[in-house]
Amino acid sequence: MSRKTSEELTQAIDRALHGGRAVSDAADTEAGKDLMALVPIAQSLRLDGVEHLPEHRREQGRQRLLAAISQAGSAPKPHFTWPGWLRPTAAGSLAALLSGAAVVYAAQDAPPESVLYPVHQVTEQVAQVTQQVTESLLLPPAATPTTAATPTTSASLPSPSSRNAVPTPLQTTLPRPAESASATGLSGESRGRDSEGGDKSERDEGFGRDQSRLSTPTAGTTATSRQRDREGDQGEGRSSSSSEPAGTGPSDGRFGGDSNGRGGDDGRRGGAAGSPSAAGSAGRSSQSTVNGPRLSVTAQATITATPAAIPASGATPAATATSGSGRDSGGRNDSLRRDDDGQHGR
Amino acid sequence: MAVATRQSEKELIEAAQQGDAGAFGSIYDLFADRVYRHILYRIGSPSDAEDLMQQTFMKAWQAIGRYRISEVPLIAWLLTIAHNSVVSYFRGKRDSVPLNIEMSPPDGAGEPYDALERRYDQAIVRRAVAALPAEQQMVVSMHFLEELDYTDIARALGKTENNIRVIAHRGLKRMRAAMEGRA
Repeated sequence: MSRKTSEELTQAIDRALHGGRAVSDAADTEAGKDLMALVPIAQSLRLDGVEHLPEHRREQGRQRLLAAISQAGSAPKPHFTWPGWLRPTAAGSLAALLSGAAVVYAAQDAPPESVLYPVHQVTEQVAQVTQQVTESLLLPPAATPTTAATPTTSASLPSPSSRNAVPTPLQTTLPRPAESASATGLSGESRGRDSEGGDKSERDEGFGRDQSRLSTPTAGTTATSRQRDREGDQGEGRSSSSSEPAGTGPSDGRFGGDSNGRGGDDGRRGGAAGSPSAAGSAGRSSQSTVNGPRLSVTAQATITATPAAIPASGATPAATATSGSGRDSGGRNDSLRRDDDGQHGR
Repeated sequence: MAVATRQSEKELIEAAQQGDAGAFGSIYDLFADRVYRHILYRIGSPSDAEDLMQQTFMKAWQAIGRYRISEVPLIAWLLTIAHNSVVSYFRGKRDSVPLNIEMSPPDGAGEPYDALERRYDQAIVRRAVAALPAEQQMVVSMHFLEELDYTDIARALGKTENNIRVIAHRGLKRMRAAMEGRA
C-alpha cells in the first residue's frame, strides 16, 4: 500500500465522516472498495457511549492534583531548549566529523595510486607537525636552547658529498667555543684551553676525559633532556676513545669534537674546548634548531662520519690540517662505529 | 469565542509554566473530562481511568516547562501523555484487558435494538482498538475519537503528516481484519 493511497484513503474517509462525497461513488475502484470497508469502522470509533467524568469526581481530582503539586513543592522549571537552527548545524557538524574520520581511517593504507593517497599524505604531515608541536610544548622551557647557541643545522651540516670538502660552513655556523662554553656553563677553563689552542692533545685528552666524566651536560646546552640523557651516557665513552688519537688542530678538533660530539670532543680547538659538554653543546645545539631529537641524531651521525672520511680522501686541508688527523683514525673509526651503533640503537 | 478561549488557554499555560498551580488547576478543569473519557475508552475501568487521568495531569505539570504553545495543541500534548500512561497500564496488566464496561446509550439513540446494536459494535470496536499496536492505537484514537487533525497529531508525535496517515490507514485495516475475524 503506497503512501499516496493511504493519504487519499484517509482524506476520503475524513470526507465521508464529515458528510462529504458519498463512499459509493468510488466503490468500483480498488481504493473505493477499501474505502467502503474502512469508513464504517472509522464511523464506529466514537466517544458517544463513553460516560463523562462526574462533576464531583472532577472537583475531587482537582483538589488531589493541587495537593500533589503543593506537596511536590517545586514549580516547573523552564527547560533550556535548543534553538531550531542549532540542531541541524550540530547534526551536520557531527556528520562531517564522522565522515572525515572515516576518510582518514580509510586513507591510512592508501597506495599512491589511490584516490585517498593525498589524504594519507596530508594526514602524515599533520601528524608530524602535531608531534613536533607536542614535543616542543612538553619540553621544559629551560631545556630549550637559545638561538644564540643554536646554529642552523641544515645550513651548517655538510652534505654527504661534501664531507671531504673544507668544513668551512660548519665552522662558521657552529657556535664559537666561547658561546658554547657559555651555553654549557663551562667556564673559563674550557675557554682558556680554547685560547691556548695547539696540539696539546695529552692535556686535552685528559681534560676531555675528565670533563666527560665530571661534567654533565647542562640544561642550557641540550636540546632535550632525553638527548642529554642519551648523549651524556655516550659521551663518556667517546671521550675516552677519542682521547687516544686526540684531535689536535682546530679544524680537526672541531670535527673531532663533533664526531665525539657527544662527549669525546677533546680535540676541539686543541681539545680544550672540546670538553665533552662543550662539544656536546655544539652538536646538540645544531640539532635542536632543526626539528627536535630525531633529526638531530641524523645530524650527529653525519658529522661523525666526516672525520672517518678524511683519511680516506686524505686531502682536505682543513680537515686534515693537523697531525692529529692521522692519529685520529682509530678513534674516529671507533667513534663512528659507536655512533652507528648508537643510531641503530635508537 | 474560540479565539477568546484559545487566548485564555495560552495565558493559563504561560502562567502554569511560571509555576502558577492555580492556573494549572484551571487547565485541569478545561481538559479533565476529555482526557478521562479518552482513557476510559481505552481501558474500560472508570476508577483506573480516573487514576490514570491524575497521573497524566501530574506528569503534565512536571513537564509543562517543555511544552511549546506554538507547536502542538495542548489537548494533543495531554493525550500523548495519557497514551503513555495507558501503555504503561496495560504493560502492568498484560493479561487483563477489561473492555466489558457497560456503555451508556449515545445521545439521541433511537430504538432499543439500535442501542443494543451500537453497544455491541462498540465493544468489538474497542477490543479491536485495544489489539492494535500502540502507535496505531494512538493515531486512530486521536484522530477518530478526539478528532484531532493529522497535522497536530504529527507534531505531537514528531512525525510527518503522511506518516501519520499511513499509520491511521494501517490501523483501520488491522481493525477491520480483527473485527471480521470476530464476526
